[in-house]
Amino acid sequence: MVRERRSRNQSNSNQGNVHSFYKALKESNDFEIYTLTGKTSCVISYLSTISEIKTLNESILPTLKGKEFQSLEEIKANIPVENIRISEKAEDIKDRVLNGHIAIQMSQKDKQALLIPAFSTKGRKVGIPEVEFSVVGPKEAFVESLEVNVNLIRKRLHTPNLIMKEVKVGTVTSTRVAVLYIDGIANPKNVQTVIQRLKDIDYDQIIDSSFVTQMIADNSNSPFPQLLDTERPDRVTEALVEGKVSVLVDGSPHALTCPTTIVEFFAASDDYFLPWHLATVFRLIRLFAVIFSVLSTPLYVAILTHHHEMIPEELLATIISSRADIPFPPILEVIILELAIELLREAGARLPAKIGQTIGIVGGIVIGTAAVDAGLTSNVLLIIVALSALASFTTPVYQIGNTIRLIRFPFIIGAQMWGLVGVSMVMVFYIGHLIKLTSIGNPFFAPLYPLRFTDLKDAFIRLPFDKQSKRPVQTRPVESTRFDPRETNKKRDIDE
Amino acid sequence: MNRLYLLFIVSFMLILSGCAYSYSVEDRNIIQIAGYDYVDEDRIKATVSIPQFGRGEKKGTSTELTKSAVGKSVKEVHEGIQRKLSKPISIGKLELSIYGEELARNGLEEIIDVLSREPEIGRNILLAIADGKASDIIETQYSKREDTAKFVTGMIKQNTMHSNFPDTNLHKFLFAFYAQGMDAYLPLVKSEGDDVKLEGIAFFKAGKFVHTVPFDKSFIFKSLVQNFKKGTKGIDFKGEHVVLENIGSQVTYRVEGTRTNPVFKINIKMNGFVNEVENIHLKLKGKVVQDIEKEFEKHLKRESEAMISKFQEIGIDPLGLGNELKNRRGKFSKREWKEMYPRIPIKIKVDAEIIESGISA
Amino acid sequence: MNKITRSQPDANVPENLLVTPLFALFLINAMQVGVGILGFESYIAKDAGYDSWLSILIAGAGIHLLLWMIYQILHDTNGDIVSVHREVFGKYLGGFLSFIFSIYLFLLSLVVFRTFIEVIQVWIFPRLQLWFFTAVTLLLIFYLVHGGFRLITGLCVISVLLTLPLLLLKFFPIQAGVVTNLYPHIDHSILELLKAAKTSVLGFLGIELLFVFYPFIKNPNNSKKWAHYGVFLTICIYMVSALASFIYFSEKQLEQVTWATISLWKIVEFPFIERFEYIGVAIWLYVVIPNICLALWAASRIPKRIFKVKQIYAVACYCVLLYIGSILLNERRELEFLNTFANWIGFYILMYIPVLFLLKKLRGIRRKADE
Repeated sequence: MVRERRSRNQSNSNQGNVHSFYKALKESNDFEIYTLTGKTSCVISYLSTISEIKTLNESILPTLKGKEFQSLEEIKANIPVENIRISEKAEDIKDRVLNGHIAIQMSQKDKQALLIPAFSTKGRKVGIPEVEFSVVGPKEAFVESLEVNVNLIRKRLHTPNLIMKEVKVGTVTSTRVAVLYIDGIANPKNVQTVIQRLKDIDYDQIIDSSFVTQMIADNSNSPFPQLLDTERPDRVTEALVEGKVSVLVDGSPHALTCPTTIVEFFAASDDYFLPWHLATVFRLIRLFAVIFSVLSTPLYVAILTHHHEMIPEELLATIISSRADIPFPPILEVIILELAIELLREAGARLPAKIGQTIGIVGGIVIGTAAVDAGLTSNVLLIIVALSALASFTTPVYQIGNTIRLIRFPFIIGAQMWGLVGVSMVMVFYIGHLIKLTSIGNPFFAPLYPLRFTDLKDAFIRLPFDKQSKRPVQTRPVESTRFDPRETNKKRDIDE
Repeated sequence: MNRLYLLFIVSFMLILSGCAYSYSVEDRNIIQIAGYDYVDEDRIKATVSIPQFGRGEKKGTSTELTKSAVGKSVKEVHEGIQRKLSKPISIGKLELSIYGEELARNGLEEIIDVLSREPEIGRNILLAIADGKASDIIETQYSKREDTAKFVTGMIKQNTMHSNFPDTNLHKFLFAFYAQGMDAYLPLVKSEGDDVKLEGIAFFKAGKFVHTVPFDKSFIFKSLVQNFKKGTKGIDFKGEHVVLENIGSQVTYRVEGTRTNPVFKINIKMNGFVNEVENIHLKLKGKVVQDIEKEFEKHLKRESEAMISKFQEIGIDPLGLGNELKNRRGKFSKREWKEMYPRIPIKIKVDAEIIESGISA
Repeated sequence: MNKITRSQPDANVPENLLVTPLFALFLINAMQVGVGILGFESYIAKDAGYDSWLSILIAGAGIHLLLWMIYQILHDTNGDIVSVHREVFGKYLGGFLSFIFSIYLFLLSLVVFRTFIEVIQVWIFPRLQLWFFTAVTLLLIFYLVHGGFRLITGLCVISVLLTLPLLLLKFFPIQAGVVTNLYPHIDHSILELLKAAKTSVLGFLGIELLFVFYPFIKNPNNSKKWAHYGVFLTICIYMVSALASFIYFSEKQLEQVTWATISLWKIVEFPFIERFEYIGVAIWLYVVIPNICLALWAASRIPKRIFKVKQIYAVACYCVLLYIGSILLNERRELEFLNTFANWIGFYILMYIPVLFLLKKLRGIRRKADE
């Protein structure tokens, strides 16, 4: 409601008057406007920082200098640049000039303008994925340009059914946001929801796709990301074919896919490039790593503080002698060490790659050993914390890694309070939260709840491709069959 | 924002209140071995040994603290020990509880009650009877590397797993103690100077220690009560001493006859190999092997019959024949069983087979 | 006068809140398996000793029959207990009976809640700060019930999936026990067996919740099969637990043991962890919480249907009562009394089902005759 009124106000102020916005632009030094004299007299205006001067010099000026033109239509017919249009709408003209078009008017007072696309792409080249690196498989990653990103997807999906819808979001930035889906597979309801939610965004700036993630999420107070973000075009392609909807934001090297489920965050692209047994084992290892990462320190606190009876006799001596003479109770010890690890992580993330690595080693080894030697922490805990930090890096999606970092702290508090019962209570809370959570209206905790046996084929394990004849139920695809399994799974006798 | 503050305050409170009464594992005196002795009519003396764990170089060696106290009940004695210590005691990791002979002869009912009631105590812990005083066993240090608890439990456990000693633990003891037609048995340990050894099996009659069987007969008892896979038994064969190593023994009980007139049949099937013969010239082939088998069967049968008739004489039923009868014939009466037990026929059949005779003929 | 609208408009549930028939299995099973299973063995063994496994089967058969009746009643009405009561007894008496049902469900949740806290007090924390622990747990429960029926169903699914593997741990006591204890020789009279069956029926309490959540099941007719599977699963779980305890404990010893299942966990040992009862009790929270949530949800749904109050107020009200109730009941003796009392009501509620069934059928016949 609020948003609509405001945007209407803004467009009203600009309506019908190109000059008001020209006036605003004239303040900037990179705005060029001049009257061309010669055979044809006209006004050329453009933003020198984002428009390609080459187009102006090679295609436009020679044409204009060579002949006399009376109208914009005539010019349009003669300039050898494609996608030229004539517009009278001030809004349109403004948008295009801001996007790197060169505007030509017959005179300054004229409402009509000829808009020649001359956008200069000065961005990063397509590089290799850095966050979601994989040893095998494609090694292209998204860049900051929407066109390039859509190109990366489209060149993998040769189907006319791949639809791209564009929405402008952000009252100041008016960022282009593209919604991609495959017509005939993706459920139109999901597409509608996504587009509607994008349109409902009322915020001045959209700098990155993570802004969109947080703004269109079903529950923005949840620590769990409800849209999967990826920098791999192949992963987006895969999601699109499964019937998901993808959101690309201009200026962001990450694409969002939705609806998603919690288990999808633990699936790496590698899982599909490896034989299914290996992929299954690695995926299970990753799941175990996540559970270990979240629960190991809480269990340490719970068992040492409340349930020392559970420690086997052989381990008891090791643990007690490592804990002997340490002045802090386990809870403080754990919190100190966990905070130290988080500190290292934050420092490592903020520093340039090479220094970051050094900090990691210095922090990890020197501080750790020194703390143990000084008798401030036990070496058993140091091992556990280091391992759990390591385990939290195994998540293939960066966002969920952050979630895992955070959610272990309530567990630690629960463990201190009521031991294992406390840990269980926090777990029940999280499970309840996850069951409640939805991703674009589809349950986030599937296929566990609602229990979807067919979707379990690609959740904790990954079955071979010939068992994946159905697309996931989660996305409610229009067309759910990938192939006819009867033909593929026909049993052959010996020597046939 | 207000909610965030609230969350912060609540979680802080949670941590603080959690700290209030919890003791971390190193702040407790973890008792792994405890012994109880008879003082007089209504007082007992408890002796416990507490391992002291150190950091760094001290890690390998074991130092222990031995404390004892006298009191009227188990809880009271524990309190008495607590009075002499800097950290609270915890009996959660108790591994072995030893009772002095005199105390056991006077009945262990009260202590058994504590053991079965206390949720902190595991069910797999060992109980033992000391031939003499329990405190003597606990106060001695047997090994430089291992503390007393580890040493004595280790001794009992390895003899149970790899040798002739029957399985015992708290649960089995309680099972037999509460069962209607069954009596309990426990290991009997003895300290001799700087050594401790398994002396034999101590048998109970309703919570009172009444009878012992020496360690060299424990093979026979073990083959009567359980299936096992490892044990050795030597017999005399034609003036020679032959040692049979058991590699698999199965015992089955059968009840024939009526509820009031039962006949028990105990079948022992044993596979083994001969691994030591006194006379090197004795060829272990054909007939000789069969003869050894026969002799072994005879020996085992004779010995076990003698053992059982002794049990019947005293009126203890460690084999749980009463329980067996109750399970199979129903309508069990403890009084009736007590009356008829000494005179019911118990038939034993031993079936031994020598499979191998080692790697040299 | 006789013309009563067959389905109450307010019993209608929005399509997106319905659950698929399969979940009837989890709902029924999760509600039946509560804290009772942790210690029912000694109670049934008091009456019929080792023969009480037979009583479990008898009780199970009875429960299947009752479940069938419940489905018949609900199928004819196509609503929940409130509609059934209104149809059979009229607005006021029916409403009163429904309200009693609601109170019974609340009592059920109180019993489960308080008993579980007792388990924690006895087995883990003898010096638990009761007021604080209860408050935090109730906040959690309130949050979960607030999530609605779908969330509770999800918890039930997780609870069943999480606790079924615990049955594998029965392997430890079976290995350590005396298998001949199970020698099938029945030496108890039919009367004793029936008495034990009555006791074990109390373990199977929970099917009556179907009276409340029936309208929440999509195609309720298809859920029949699953509900029966759910009951069957419960019987299997109870059976395995009972048999494992019978093997592990001697008959008189079993009578001494208050929480047989937890005692069985004591001997579970792995190289890295011993004394499984601590983990077991902690995991049991996943059984207890859905149980309480479901009972509380159902208890608060009835006032919503009768008085048209907002369910959230009813839940809040019941939560406060739960808090007060569990703080006041502080002694083992009082708890025992509460348990017996709730069981007594539960038993009569079960006995009430056939009565309702007959009344309903008679009514159906009469209406047919009228037409």
